[in-house]
Amino acid sequence: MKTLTKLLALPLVLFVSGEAQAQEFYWAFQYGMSAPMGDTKTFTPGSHWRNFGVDGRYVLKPNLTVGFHVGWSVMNDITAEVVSVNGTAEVTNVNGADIGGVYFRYLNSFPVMANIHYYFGKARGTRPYIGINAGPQAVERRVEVGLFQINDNNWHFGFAPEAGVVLPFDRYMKGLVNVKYNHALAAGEFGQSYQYWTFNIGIAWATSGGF
Amino acid sequence: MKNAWFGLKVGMAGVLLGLTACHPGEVSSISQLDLVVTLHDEMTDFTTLQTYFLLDSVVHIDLEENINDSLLNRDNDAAMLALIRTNIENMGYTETTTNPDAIFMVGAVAQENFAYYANWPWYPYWGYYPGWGCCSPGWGWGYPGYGYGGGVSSVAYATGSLMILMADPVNTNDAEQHVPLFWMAVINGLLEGTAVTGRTETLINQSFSQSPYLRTN
Repeated sequence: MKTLTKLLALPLVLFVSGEAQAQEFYWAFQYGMSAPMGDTKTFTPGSHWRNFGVDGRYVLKPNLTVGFHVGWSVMNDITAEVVSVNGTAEVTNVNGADIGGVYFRYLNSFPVMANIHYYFGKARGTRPYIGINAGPQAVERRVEVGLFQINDNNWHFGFAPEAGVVLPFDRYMKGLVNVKYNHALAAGEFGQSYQYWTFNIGIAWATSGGF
Repeated sequence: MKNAWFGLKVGMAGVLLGLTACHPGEVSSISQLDLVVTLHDEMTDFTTLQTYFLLDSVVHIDLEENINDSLLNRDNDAAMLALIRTNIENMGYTETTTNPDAIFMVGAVAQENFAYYANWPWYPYWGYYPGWGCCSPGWGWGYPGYGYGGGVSSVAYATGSLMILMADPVNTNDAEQHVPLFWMAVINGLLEGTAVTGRTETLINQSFSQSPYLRTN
């Protein structure tokens, strides 16, 4: 408990004091695929290839980093169908209605999360890692049918456990492969939650080459 | 070497951002904007209804004076009524002029819509500002200036709705002039392009095919 308290307090101390004992920091740009689950999969099924993320990770200890993750995932679906409206998420007080048309469905997810990761292996080598991201996540949900559009935009609290591996290319540049399970908890008028996997590859740059 | 890596980072970020788009997938034909909404009284047992009467003309509802003269015409009224009659009888109903169980009425309305938007020209001015670090030029902002040209643009488009109403002639409220409905269909779309008639026929058929509960048997 004491160790955890120290770990959580240290980034705050560093930001306030403006000083850092360790100088290692690395940026990572990631691109990958989103695979929705549960109700999210019902809304936008299939695989989606518009997933982008930026991580900034500060090396707290040789095998521990803390940092942040900012991401953008786009999931969409176009389907011609008839939807029966009886208290669905979009409309809550209509019964006996059927709406036929071409449905354009979109989900844009913007996580802005803090993270902490633990690394195995040795510095400058291949390093598998596990970690977790947690924080706010903005989600835009849109349905377009005919000449009409329904939007539901909310901030959710979300978390994303993550596992991956850092691959050394040279002293400063590294490759990144990871998988995350993103879960945005229920929020908004319709109480929607969202779950999706992301599978990413990326490039990372370390500032001083010691990681 | 560091500047090269920095440039690579910026370039890759740009490429990756370019691969994304908030709302991918575009409308590829006007028919994708067509909509059919059907509503029905869930308390009605349609198997108890056997006969119907269809009014012999399409009511044009004028939202604006004379607007329908230019956007709607009566050239296809007879064909539309014939198609609706065919669909009703395919549901098992028999036409009669005396004491029908249900009365069908057809109405149409058109509307001209206008959208205005302002476009601001992009006047790019990535200045050269030797202020990053000591003695080395870098990326910076110059005086952006104000753009030239630009203005307000408008787009006009016509939309139309066709309504098919199935009324209950028995349980009317004459005092309140209230006629209950068993079922209604509203077909909505753009009155643009050359295939409006064909699309209308398809949508009339769609309104009955998505209402299987209408069947009398």
